[in-house]
Amino acid sequence: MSRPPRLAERLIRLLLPGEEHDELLGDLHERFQGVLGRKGPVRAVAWYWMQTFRSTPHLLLGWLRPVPRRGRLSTHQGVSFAGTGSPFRILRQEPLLSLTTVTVLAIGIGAPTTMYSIVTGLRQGLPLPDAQELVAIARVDPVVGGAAGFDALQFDAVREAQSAMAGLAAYRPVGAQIDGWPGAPTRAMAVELSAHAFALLGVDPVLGRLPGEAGAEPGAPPGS
Amino acid sequence: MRHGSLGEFEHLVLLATLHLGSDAYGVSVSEFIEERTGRRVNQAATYLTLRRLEEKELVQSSMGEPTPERGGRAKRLFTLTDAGRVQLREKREELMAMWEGIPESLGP
Repeated sequence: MSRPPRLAERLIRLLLPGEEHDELLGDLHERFQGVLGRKGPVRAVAWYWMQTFRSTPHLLLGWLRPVPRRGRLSTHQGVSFAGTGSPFRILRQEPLLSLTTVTVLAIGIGAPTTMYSIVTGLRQGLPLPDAQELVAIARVDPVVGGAAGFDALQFDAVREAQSAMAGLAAYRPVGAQIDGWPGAPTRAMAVELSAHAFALLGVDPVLGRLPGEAGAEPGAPPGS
Repeated sequence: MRHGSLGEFEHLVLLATLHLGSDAYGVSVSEFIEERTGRRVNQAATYLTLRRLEEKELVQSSMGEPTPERGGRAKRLFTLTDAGRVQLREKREELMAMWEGIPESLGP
């Protein structure tokens, strides 16, 4: 796909009536081409939709404040409201786009609210003391363009320098083999934790013992 | 026209317009702010801010030629007006007065 999604463009036309939407669509088209060249069509389309979602409140607010028509900027000549007609009339004339707009707004408001509720509910349900204080920290990788983990040196540096948290612990999902329990060796998904994780979470191991602080030092023998 | 006070994003957009000179338009202003501040900028926010600054007579605009990379649409180029420069100068003096006497570490 070498052009922006048509539905998103139509949505912006609806939200910014009049001649002005051509200028904004031109800006978005130009930036879309840049993202397309750097990151490919899927990321470019996702970027365009994200811009459209995030534009919605700005453009809706634009309806509420008087703005000048092009070429009539002087206060002596007065100001008029943006667009060529009443937004409500346009909504009535374009029922499909109106439905799309309402749906986008509903998803935009509903999705974050739902995610927040789920995450909050999950955290409160964890069998840990002060579970509501747990947060996950990630690094933003400018190359990948998204969240990434820390390597051991970065983690140690952040852990020593930070003062905002009660403590930091690292985790890493790994594939593990469990021998002889409950029978034949089995493969399982496991999580490797740094030495401080159990103490930070305030829990004791069900089996075995906690690794000591000395075991987390570079060069420490296994099992220390 | 009463220019009023500058919002934070309006301030950034005016500074970007000043930096970019004759090549200031929606895309270049957004990209300049993203590059200098590291924040993500919504294109509609930049566009509407430039229009609002034009309404306040702090910038003025002219239309360029339609180009293929913009889907055959023309770009609107913006330049600072004298009032815009005065506003920026006042803002800078205001901020410098507030920062005066504060050490770089922000400590006591």
